[in-house]
Amino acid sequence: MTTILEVRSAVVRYGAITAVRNVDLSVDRGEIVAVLGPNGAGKTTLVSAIAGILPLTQGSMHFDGQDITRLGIEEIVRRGMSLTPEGRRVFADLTVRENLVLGGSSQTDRALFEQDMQRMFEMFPILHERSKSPAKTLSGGEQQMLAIARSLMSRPRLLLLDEPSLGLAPRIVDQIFRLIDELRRDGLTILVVEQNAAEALAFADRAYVLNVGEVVYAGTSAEVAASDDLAEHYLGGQLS
Amino acid sequence: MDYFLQQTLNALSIGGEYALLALGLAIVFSVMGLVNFAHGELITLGGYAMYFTLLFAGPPVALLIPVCILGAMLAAVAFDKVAFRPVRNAPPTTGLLTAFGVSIIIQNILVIFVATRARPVPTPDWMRGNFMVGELSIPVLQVLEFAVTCLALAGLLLLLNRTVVGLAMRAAAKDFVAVRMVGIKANRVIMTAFAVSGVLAGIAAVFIISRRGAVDPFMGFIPLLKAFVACVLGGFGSLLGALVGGIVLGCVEVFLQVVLPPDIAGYRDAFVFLLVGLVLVLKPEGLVGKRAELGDKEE
Ligand SMILES: Nc1ncnc2c1ncn2[C@@H]1O[C@H](COP(=O)(O)OP(=O)(O)O)[C@@H](O)[C@H]1O
Ligand SMILES: [Mg+2]
Repeated sequence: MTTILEVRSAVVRYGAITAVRNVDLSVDRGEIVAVLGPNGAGKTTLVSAIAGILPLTQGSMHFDGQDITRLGIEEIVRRGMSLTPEGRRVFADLTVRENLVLGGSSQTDRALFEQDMQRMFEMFPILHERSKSPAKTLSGGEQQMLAIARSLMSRPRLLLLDEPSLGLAPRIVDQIFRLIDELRRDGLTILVVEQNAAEALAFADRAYVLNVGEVVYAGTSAEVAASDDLAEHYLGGQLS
Repeated sequence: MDYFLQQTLNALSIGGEYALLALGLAIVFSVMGLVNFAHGELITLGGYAMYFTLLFAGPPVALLIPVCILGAMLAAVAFDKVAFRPVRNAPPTTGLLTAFGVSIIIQNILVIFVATRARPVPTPDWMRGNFMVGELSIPVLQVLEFAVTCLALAGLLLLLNRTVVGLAMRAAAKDFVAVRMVGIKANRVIMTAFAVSGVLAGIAAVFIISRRGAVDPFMGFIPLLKAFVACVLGGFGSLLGALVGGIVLGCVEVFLQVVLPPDIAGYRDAFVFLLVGLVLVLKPEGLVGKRAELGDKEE
């Protein structure tokens, strides 16, 4: 397997606060990798830095073998990595369709763009139904689907998902995770941040456990799930 | 009746002019949170672009109109590139001070290298004079100004609703980082906002200059003041607010001009500001307030 993302010794600071300390992380093509850990562990900070939203204070990042450490958000998206941010951040006043139009705005081929739009509407029939409604009128789960679809419109090879299940009803959470699994089967590589460890471990190949900005454990999902110690200290109790 | 109609038309044309200027201020503010106090200088530079074109190239006077609009647009884009981009991530007060700096520098360059005195800029003949509708004599300029304002508004609406960069501008008013997350370049969105504000200022400048018949280095100040007041009146950060604020301000000014006795008509602006102050006491969020669905700024 080839590595698609390689993060080395990443440090991210907010002024005096160090939110990510010396993190090493890699993702192989075709994998689902989970980043787990309690609230405030630095998960959002880490994926934001990977997506180019926050600068790394120290360390380096390579995507597809190329150094992306100092690239801006826009450039990283254009290279094939897309983040579906925590809290979804859909364009609330724009319609569903307009959200997708902006999502696909880096696509220069008109035909491919239309094709992608069709694909999103097939994958998420509800978005097709609501295509003319402002995004803010969608339910939380629908907004999450829109946020993911918006990310997919840029045809990423690596999709970063920050807490896709946050605040959603269990039935919707299942739906989102099934979708993640489907996307992987279509060949997409996914790095998913979750507090919902049990659900994430059921789908992920490997997991990193973050605590106070540091990786306290990295291993296969089975290993992480089997560790009572990790469950008790970092992952909010029972995992299975 | 004749008089009433003429004054209504006068109010609409002045109001339209204020609205164009206020919209330019509002659109830059909504996208990047900057109150561009150098907005008035766009009018000035549009005017001087006409003056210099005439001086050096001597084209037909009508050609000066696109020169003015283009000049103001290029000036706005240049302000962004040269002055505002370097301080984009600085605290808002830095942007504000930069805007004042730009304004002062432009005024002084014109004073030093051109002249403090006003320079004449002619208006095409067809824009002057009146035409008759039955018994009514109607100034061409006013009808034209109102019509052009409506056209500019239609164009703006199309841009904001039908183009990728327009949609991005509306989205950026709320969450700029999310716009960048879909791969749209921040520079492109902000540059477009400035270009739009420049075009709107340039259009207003054509009419402002055809009223005064001349340009001078400080001519941008009063229009800027009016645009700012219009924005505050309508609700700062709101595009609809800028439009409504501009029209209302124009109407109030013309109304006061008509009803005030001649010996205190000179204090008209004081009365206007008093009224605006009153509105803000009663309705602090402005006449329109925030209309998020139009892409208004939300703090
Ligand atoms: N914008 C910010 N400024 C300062 N500190 C921040 C900021 N965002 C997050 N933090 C701090 O960084 C740490 C990690 O936060 P975050 O990455 O959001 O954690 P997680 O996503 O794992 O819940 C927390 O201590 C948080 O308080
Ligand atoms: Mg988080």
